[in-house]
Amino acid sequence: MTNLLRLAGFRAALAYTSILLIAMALVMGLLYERLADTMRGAQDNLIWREAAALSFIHQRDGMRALAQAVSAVQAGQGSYVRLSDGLGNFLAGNLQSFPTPERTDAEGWVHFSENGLPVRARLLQVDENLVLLVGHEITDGQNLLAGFRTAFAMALLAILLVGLGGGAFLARRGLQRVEAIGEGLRPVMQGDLSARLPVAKGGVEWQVLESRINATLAQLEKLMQATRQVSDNLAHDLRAPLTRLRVRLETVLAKTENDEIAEAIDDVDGLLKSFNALLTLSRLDSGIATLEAWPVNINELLDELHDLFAPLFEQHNMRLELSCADNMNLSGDADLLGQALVNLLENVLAHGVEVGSSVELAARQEGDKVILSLADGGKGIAPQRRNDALERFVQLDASRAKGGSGLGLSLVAAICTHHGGELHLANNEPGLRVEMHLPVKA
Amino acid sequence: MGQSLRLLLIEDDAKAAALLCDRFRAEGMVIEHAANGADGLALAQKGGFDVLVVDRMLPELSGTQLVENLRQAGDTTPVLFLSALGEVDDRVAGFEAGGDDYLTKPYAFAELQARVTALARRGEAAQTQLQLADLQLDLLAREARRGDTLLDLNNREFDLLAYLASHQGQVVTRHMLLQNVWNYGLDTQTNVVDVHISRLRAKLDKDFTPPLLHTKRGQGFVLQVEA
Repeated sequence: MTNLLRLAGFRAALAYTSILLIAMALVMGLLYERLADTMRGAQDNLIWREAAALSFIHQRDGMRALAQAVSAVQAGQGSYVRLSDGLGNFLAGNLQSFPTPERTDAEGWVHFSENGLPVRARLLQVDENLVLLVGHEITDGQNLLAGFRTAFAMALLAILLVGLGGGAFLARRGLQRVEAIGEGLRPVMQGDLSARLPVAKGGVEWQVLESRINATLAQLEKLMQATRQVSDNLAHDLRAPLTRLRVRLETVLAKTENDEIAEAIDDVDGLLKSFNALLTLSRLDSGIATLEAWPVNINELLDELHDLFAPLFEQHNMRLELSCADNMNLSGDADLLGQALVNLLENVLAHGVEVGSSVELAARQEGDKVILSLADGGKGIAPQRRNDALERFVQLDASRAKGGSGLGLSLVAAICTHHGGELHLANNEPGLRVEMHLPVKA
Repeated sequence: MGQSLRLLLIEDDAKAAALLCDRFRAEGMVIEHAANGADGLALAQKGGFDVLVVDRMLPELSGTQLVENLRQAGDTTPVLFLSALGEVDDRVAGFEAGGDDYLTKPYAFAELQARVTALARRGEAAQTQLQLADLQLDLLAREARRGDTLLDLNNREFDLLAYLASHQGQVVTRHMLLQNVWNYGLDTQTNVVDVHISRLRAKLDKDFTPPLLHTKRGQGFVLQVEA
């Protein structure tokens, strides 16, 4: 469950919805303002007309007629009229006491409440001693405006919900497609280059992306096959004559015990070992080798290696110690892992011999990782030279006097990578500590 | 070995095939050779061979296809694949096709011979007693004696001696020992096997005559009474 806010699709929808909301709010605000103005105008018109009619009666028929007309206005019809003398004393109308104004606006409109209902009214000086108040309830208008406000708010809320919901839906759908692509590429990462993405229906931009990825994979597969072919041919063309050479030499040796011939066979074997290591390394590095993962019993593997190498270490006046937790297992290629450890052991014998020291072959588990390590008490490798040590054909001893192909550690590193792990070189104070960090499940 | 072994070698590399034929005949085996997959299949179908040695890469019909054809026809003659590829997936493909063993080029002839012999003997009752001169091995009790003296061997030394004794008279390579006594197909530039051999030799030959465990330079080791 990826956080929605971090999805590009959802962010875009969010921005778009915000812009839409602002625009809609502006439009609705203007509309509302005009509506409110029009309604107020209509009400005011009503009041003006009533006031004008009363004023006309006063001018034509005098004060008595005005008082009668004012008294004739019934209460409870929404209209309010009050005639008072210059001091505010009640003379006629349906408002006995002068109401307490809640506010008076700039144009002279008075607002007050009567019986809990809002009233908008106007004061008129009819003559020196007569003041007329004409007003009208504005509840209907206000109710209408309130209705509009609610409707507008609902509309904005609906836009917000549709925008966010749609954005989330689209973003999730995009994410699902991306996840489908990632899932489709998993076998490729694990070395199956024949895997292709399904080109799903809908979304031309996605289909374009998926077919481009598929075209890239096809190209990659072709290149890999070509590389594999070259490597197979090279292996075949070199191994076949070397096999014949070896059998010929053996045949001669079987007839005459000749040291020169025996040494020639040793040379052929040395050549083959370097060639095999190089071939394995290039296959691992180029990714054309797929990992044959089987359950590997680490305890058994280390026991065998300890048993095999301990006497040789004794011959060099060193001790090879084994330290391994119980029931250690991982999924991988036992032959390759064994070869990696053999290379490390050979490295110690070639470069880390320190008479009387002990060398520890160990395995431990940390979380979902198994760590195979070999720690010696020799001279070690200076920190700044450790990366060099992992390069192919590099021998830190510039004279190359110790022999070997210089492929040992780089092969170990490639085997680690092949298993989805890492190789670490560290200081053992004194000596070198090499650790292979391998995932339990490759 | 009593009756001599009959081999069919299907190998397109004519020079290698000629060499192998010579060596196998020198070891007293009967060997026939086919230079391509189609001829090989025809010969194999006539039957009468104890072991088929088949190259993985052959013209006309590949080694794996050939063996698949044989297996589908119900032929169960043991098959040893030879391959210059030697990658794990090739090996798996070989076994899936119905191969019984797999040897990567280049190999020592001694190893090819040992594997062919082992395939031919497959199915025979396993021996529980091995003997050479005054050396006696009881594979069930895991005891080794020279004359009346019980040899003080640890487990691995016993396995090593048993492997050598079951191949007595044949050269056993370091590679064969690594694979069969320590169970991993490892390449090592060290003389790690020689150290074990010299420890075994100290217990086996130091206080006894005749010496039985001999080093063959450039080849490996052999357990035998030398003339």
